[in-house]
Amino acid sequence: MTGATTVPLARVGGVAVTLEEAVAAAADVLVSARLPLVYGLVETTVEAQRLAVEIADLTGGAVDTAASAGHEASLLAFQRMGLLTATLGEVRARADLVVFWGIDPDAREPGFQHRYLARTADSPERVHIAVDIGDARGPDEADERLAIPAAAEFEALWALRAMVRGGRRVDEERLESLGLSLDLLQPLAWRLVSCRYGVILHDADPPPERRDPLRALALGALVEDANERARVRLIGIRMPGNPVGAEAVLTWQTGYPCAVHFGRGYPRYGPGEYTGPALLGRGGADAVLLVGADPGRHLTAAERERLGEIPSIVIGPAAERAEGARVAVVTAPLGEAPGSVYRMDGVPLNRRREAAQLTDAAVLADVAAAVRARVQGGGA
Amino acid sequence: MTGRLRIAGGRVYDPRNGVDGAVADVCIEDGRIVASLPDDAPVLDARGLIVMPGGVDIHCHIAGPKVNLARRLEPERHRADPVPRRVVGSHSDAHVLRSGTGGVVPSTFATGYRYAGLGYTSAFEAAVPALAARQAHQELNDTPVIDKAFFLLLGNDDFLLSLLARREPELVRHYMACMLGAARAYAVKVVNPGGVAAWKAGAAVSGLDEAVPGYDGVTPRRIVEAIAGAVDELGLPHPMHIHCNNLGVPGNAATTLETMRAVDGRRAHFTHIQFHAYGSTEDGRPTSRARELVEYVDAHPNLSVDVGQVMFGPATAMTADARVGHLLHRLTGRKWVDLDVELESGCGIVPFEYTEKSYVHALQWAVGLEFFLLARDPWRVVLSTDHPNGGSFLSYPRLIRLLMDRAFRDEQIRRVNPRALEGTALADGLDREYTLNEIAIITRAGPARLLGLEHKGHLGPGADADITIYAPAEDAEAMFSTPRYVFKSGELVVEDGELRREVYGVTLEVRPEYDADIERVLRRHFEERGTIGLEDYRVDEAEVDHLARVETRRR
Repeated sequence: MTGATTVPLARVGGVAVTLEEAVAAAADVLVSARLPLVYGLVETTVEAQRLAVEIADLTGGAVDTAASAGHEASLLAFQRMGLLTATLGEVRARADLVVFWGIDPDAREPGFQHRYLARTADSPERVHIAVDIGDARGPDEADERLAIPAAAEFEALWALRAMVRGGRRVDEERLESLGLSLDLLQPLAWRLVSCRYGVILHDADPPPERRDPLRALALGALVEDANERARVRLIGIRMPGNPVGAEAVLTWQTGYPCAVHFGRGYPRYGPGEYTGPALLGRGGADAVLLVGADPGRHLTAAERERLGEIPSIVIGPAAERAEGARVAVVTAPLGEAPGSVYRMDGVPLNRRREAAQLTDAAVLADVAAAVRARVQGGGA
Repeated sequence: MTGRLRIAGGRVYDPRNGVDGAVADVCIEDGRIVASLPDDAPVLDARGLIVMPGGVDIHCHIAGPKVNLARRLEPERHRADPVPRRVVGSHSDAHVLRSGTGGVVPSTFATGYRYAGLGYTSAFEAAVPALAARQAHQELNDTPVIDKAFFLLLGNDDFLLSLLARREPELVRHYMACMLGAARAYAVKVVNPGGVAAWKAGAAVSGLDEAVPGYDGVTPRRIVEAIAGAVDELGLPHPMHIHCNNLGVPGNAATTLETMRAVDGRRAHFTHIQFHAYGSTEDGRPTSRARELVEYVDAHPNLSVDVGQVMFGPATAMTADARVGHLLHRLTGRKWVDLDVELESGCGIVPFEYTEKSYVHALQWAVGLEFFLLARDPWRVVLSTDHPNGGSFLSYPRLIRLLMDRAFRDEQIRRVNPRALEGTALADGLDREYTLNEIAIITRAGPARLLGLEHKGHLGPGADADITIYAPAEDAEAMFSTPRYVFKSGELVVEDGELRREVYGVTLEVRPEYDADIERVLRRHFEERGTIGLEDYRVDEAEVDHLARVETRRR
């Protein structure tokens, strides 16, 4: 709420206006753009996400989440081969083996281990193994750990697959040339097939320097192989906020989880092509509605700059600082807004609280209605 | 008030009210059917047309996490079937319909539009775990036109199984009522009782009297007895909706019959019975045992089934019976999603295709048709494809033609793997052809009655004015694919198969009474065993866009 007393809630062209005026200006921008991009969606509620996708649909624009560039590899692996997974309650209740594959979940979501991995009276004896991939380390307090050079990650996964399947030769010389060895990997392979219920946690929203289109596929394949001999699940650790809600809403409304383009009047899916960064970077989008994202944290410097070059509408706490925005509406942060948020394992929750401030959902409902009125105004 | 209309002079098929093709007027006022209207009420000339209640789908998968995971899994099928944004109406009345994608698992808006386009006005999502009730409601909120509801999974529920293990079956009723209310669900679904709990623990349960690991003395039989009994005691409008153990396994008809006997006079609806009706040859190939099951169901009026017909072409296996996903994945090598869900159930998803030449697929196709063609009481053997497991709901018109048109059916029979037909009743040359009245029973009146919907599936005064009007045609598939008119709650929504207006139907719920003491026990249970609390399970009234309660009748 800092600054709410000094910064007007709604601005158009930097000038304080009523909410109605801001909504009308936003609708005008969106309707007159050739390709408006609705972008962000990760730090807002399902109620707001529903409306954001509707606005993109009605205006023939594009919509994408600020998670998609990092999460794309996991989504494409899912679409190629499926996924063996579980909700976190199952992990807590059943897992006797947890492998942290280059991730310390507490660094992403404080309290994660306490909530989902605490050893309770009911839970089985459990071994925690940290696999450090270069600088991407597992939790310090793991029972066991092994280190894999970042450049050898894929080879390590492939060798683990071979060991888990059994009867396949592993090229030891090649492993050693990469700084790996059978002795290093063999104990982990053995654990993966001799556990009762094993879980591999990995980073499903890796930072740009850790993005590898093959990692999610290799992890998925390893889990499928191990699952033939034990019960093994793969769980992606997600960025904070509500990216899972955004992907769920996009999927039920359009059939696709990210990077959707409505320019032809129906949803087209273009991972890598219709993503927010691509449409901003190539200059495809000629207007932006940013909601559920903070330019400072979710956009690159180039994207922020682009935001100043085309008409932009910023809705969210970040609107306080969005000087270059054509329309800015300050709303409650996700942590203070009532509404539905999906946990990283897909469990839908309802954050019941009084709305002390305007919410994204309330503003988007007005924008969607104004857009609808403009689009429908001309008749059939 | 608005909404008066006389649908005049059509041939009316309203089996519940004993009307079999008589020429009559159907009068609408304020969204309901009324006995009569003043002479100056607007008239729709339906002379020469066929008038039926709107279709009711008793078992389909259209909302919730497994449906949405399946949507996400199949971009290639969506790409091939875009659903463009459209404007309906004109000038001040113009309205933009939402775009979407089709395929076997359509997006939510496309699901609503396409059901309506087929003349279906109600659909029941058949399997939602309490943990995901909120998501199911959110998706149903975005599913236009049709009325909808979901069934709550309870047959592998950790708390319910512990109550049985602790020999406290009397608490089962209170627990079920509490969770139905919390989830705002409509009925109780049992999937592979005890078998999914066992599967998640790395074990198997295949017989009715095998122990479920982790729950002392609990067997599928005890789960079935307790839940069927509690559903009857609560007086839920729909009986226990059960998917038996051993789905798809050769020889599973024995389990199915045993389960029917275990129900023992209580009410139960056995879903997608086709998948549970197999014998086995010595070398383990499935055969048909449809005849015995049809006879058993015919002789026991407390039982009903929907068929779960397999249709050749694309399908997606999606089931809370996650074991089945694993089997299909191993069989086909296709991509596979397997999800374990906290405290109840899981799900398995495998996209695939039924082919005429496959022995197993052809057998499944034949077994489904045997149920339809041998059933003596169509009120209790109703139509489903277990969408999208046996095929998309869009294949219903073709299925209807298979039932109504023997020549068409025979032509199809000649194309399927002939070995699969040996020993089925189809090989005997079944010549039955369904009448329009029987079609109205298995797609409307029957499902509505089985679901306990007083106001649906018929055209008597007081019924919801959900009405489908067809132009008669030789080709029943063409006729049922493209209704001339569809009315939802008295509003004209479809003309010539095209959506003309967008309305939103209601979501049905039951809220049976229970002893609130159970909540105290439950709060502790969720605290100890779960990662979310009872209040997190509760879906608020405000979270469901158009909620409508159906009363229960305590016995």
